[in-house]
Amino acid sequence: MAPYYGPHQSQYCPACSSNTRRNGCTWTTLVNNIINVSKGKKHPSPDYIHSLVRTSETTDPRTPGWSVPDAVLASERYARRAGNDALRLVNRTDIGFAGVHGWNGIQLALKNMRYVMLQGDSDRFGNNTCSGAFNGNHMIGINPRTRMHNSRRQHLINDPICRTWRWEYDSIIYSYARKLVGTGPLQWAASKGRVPLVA
Amino acid sequence: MAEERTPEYTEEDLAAADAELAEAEAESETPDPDSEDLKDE
Repeated sequence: MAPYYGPHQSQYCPACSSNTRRNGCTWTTLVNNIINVSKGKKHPSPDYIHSLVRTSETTDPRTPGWSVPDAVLASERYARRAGNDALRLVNRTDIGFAGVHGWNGIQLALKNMRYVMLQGDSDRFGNNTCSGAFNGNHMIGINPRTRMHNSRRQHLINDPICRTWRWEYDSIIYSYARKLVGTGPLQWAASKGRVPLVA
Repeated sequence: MAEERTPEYTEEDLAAADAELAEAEAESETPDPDSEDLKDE
């Protein structure tokens, strides 16, 4: 048995608005969270998820993108409408992991089959990957599914600027997250429910 | 359209990232017991 992984949602989908294409990495990653935790039974559009939070309600209405708390708020509203509390996100930024800046918490969440949304600076991703097409403040989703490659562990990730999921080394994921925040806490959230196991 | 699903990095890039992660893990603490709710819904 291994964690389910569903169809990948890209922020560049044909039906995606120009706002989602330019600024929608966080709400698109929330879509990937919902797909994976619901085992594909739920697949809202990125623009629908974006509509759940008014700009005036976001943590910084002057900027078009979303923060982790904005994604959490959207997830709470979506989960309530869907009648499924497991689809909520829980903001884990600097909560209970003060000394580790989040990395141990992220590993614990993944080990316990949570889907993780993690902010970072995408210039750490190799330019020969689909993720290399963008450098800057970004959000990706991390599925609990792992594999060993070149004697190093990788996780399956959903980078919303990519057309499909891909594998990434844990150390590169850490470097991506760390670069954004320096010595501060990693910016992340975990799904309330588990990613289901499948054969 | 086919798309690579496995990134390729130089060994130097991976070694640097491994070292950064190893340093972080060496400084890490056990997650707070309050975070045990990550284990249970």
